[in-house]
Amino acid sequence: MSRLYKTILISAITALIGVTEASAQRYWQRIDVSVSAGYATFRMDDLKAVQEEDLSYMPVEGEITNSFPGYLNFGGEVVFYDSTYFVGVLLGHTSTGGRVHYADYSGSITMDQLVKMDYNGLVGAYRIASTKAGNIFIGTNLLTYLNRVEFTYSQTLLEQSSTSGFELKSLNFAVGPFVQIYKRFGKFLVKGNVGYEFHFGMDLFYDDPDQKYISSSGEYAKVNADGFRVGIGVGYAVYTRRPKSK
Amino acid sequence: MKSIVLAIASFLILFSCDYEPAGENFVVRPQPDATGVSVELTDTSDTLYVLGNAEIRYSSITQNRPVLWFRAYLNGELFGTHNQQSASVFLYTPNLSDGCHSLRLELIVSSGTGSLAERQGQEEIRIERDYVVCIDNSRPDPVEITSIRRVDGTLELAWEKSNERFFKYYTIVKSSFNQASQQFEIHWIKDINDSETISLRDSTFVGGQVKYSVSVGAANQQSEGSEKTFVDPYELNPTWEWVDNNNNIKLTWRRTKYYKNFTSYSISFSYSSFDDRTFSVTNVDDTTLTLDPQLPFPSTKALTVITYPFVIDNFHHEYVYGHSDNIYIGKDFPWYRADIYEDKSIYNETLDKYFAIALTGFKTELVKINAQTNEIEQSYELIGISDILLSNNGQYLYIAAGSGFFQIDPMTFTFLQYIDLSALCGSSGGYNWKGSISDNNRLALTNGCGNFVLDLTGHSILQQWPFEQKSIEISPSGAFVIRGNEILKWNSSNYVSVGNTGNTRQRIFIQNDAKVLLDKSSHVDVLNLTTMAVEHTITLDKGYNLRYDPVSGLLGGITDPFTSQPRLFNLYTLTSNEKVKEFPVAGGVVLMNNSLVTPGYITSLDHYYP
Repeated sequence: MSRLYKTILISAITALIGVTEASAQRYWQRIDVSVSAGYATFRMDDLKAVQEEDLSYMPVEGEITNSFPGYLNFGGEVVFYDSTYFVGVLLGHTSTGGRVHYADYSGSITMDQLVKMDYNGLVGAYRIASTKAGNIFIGTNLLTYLNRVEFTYSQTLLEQSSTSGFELKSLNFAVGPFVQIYKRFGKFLVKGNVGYEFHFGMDLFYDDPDQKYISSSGEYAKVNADGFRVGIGVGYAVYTRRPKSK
Repeated sequence: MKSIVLAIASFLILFSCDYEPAGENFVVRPQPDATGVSVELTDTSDTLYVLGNAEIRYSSITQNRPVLWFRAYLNGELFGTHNQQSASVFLYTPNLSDGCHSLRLELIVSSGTGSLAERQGQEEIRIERDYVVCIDNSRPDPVEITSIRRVDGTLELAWEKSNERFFKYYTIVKSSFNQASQQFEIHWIKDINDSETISLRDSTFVGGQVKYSVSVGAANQQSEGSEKTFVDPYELNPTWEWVDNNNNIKLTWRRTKYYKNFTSYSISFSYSSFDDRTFSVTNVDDTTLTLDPQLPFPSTKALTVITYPFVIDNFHHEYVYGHSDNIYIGKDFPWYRADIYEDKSIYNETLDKYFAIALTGFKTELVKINAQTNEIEQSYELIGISDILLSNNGQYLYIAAGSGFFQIDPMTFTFLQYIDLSALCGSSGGYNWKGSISDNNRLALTNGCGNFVLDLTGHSILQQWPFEQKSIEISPSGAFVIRGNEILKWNSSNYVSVGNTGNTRQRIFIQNDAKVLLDKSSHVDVLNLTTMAVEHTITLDKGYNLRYDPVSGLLGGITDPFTSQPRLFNLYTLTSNEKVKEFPVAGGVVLMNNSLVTPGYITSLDHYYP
């Protein structure tokens, strides 16, 4: 990478996180940019209850065929390394969903619930070991989740189809402790992490936050996204302090 | 650099790859099948005959499928709907022409597959069935009543058979002649559904006047009714007589000829008698009843006898009744003026006549009543109510009037003379004389002027006590006068004191002046006028109208009506200390001529004291 290009990239990242290139060069040994993919599980108690209610209101003997299983999780982060710890910012996205379904020769009823979750936040970790396989860190994420839940109802009866639906939103705060291992290969790095997120959710609402969703049984509902987070990622050191010449 | 761009691009692609809900729950259901589903009219062939409005009954087989609709169409027009598997709809035909029409039944049931479409009400099975409806709204022809006659103790009604093709029933209406309102009133209505049945035995008839109507019904059409009246008079004519030594009455009435319809004779008393006893006789041949009338002299009561036939269905009882003549003790007697406190009627044994004051219309009359026939023989008009003075030997009859007395011939009831006594009192008085007359025409008098004993034959004053107003009474022979409490005896020139009575309410000379009865309210002393000694004392119940009857030799009077209920009549003999008989009476009864007498009625004392 040309020096000009590195200077531009470091300046952009440090500007993004509110530090100057000079300060970055003064305090941090290295700055990494990385992306990762992984797998996330979700508790989703409230939405599972909504599914049960939908099932009970079906005119026929339907079935819950899909109930918010674990799914892929994607993210990216910029971290600043000192000799024994790192801090940084991250953002990411995950999703899951559910379905209640009935079909026979005369038609079908499908009730889908798709949950999309965008998150961002801060990350910090402390090195607890340095092995031949790589450095091992323990740390935590502090995250904000922006959730959207899309309800879609579709019916096909005697070859006549109809679909309707609506969307709900909510906000979660989460704490996600994790253990991470990474290994460098020159300016590149490979990392893997395992963790669990604890969520503190707000009630689902329609477009207006004051207009909360109330289920048929009269309850408010949340996106309970608590669950395990497992991921692997690759990164690139966009800045590395040069060792002082002796 | 290329690798970084490639990594970011891959990330963005992955970033857009959201979860997609999946899964299918396909349930295998049977296809709709109309096999075994049917609808039909109940108990009807392919052609239905309708007479007037009709109830169209249908039934269906649905193989447990829910019925969504049943619809009935006449000539393509919907006239009835239902949602039951088996029910009925009504066909109103007044605006339809007589003749045959097409009837279509349409049954719509759910498919019963349990599919989504069935559950959404969009999958159904439709069954149709066609019939022919023939309508006939013409009015049926009437039938005539052929006979009404008594048969085997009941009443049989017969009529012509109806030949209506669509016959439904005969309607029989019975109307009875109400004895009270004197008009026919419907008693019962009966329908007979069998056209072959053309007679009816009426178990509700026991006699009298009845009217039957027979009409023919076909659908909602009814023929004109043919009517016939039947009369078989049944007068119960209840009569009564005294039996069992006048203790009971025996009631007799007429038997009904309709013995098979008979249920009971009911005997009760007239409402005004306040006797609510009712007797029932259930043997049609038993037409007598002996009962205690519980009838105090001189009250009256009538008996009502009702003959009841059977009651059918929920209709009211039909019956025939009759009233007896009034039942009373004794015989009729002229009405005269008296009450429970005072009765001035007189029986004179010598003449064998009663004398009393009667009010006849607007006239007050002295009447003489034959003691054998109890009929008024003669009357003499009076001016106002007066005292009657009659000597025991029946020779002297005087009526107090004004300042003197009229003398009337007791045999001919003709006026003899007027004796003006105003001279006894001067110009200041002389009215309201009270007195008694002896067999020798001596008159003992009293009023405010004093006491006098006059000899009306010699027109002289025998003795007087001016301005001393005391009760005074002369004995039948004229030998004694009781003035106040003093007993005076005639010594050929004067009445001189021979004894004292004490306080008395009434003095009654008896046995040719041998004795006098001194009524002292609580008792009667029998005083011997020869010895002036009380021979006997009879204890009295406090009473009124105490009389001594020389014919029977008994004393009698009624108890105080306000202190004794029921009012009693007491009988005493001159030899017993207490009453010998008491019995209830209903009015101011007095004892005379061995009889009990009251205005309107008389009975022999034997009825109570044989």
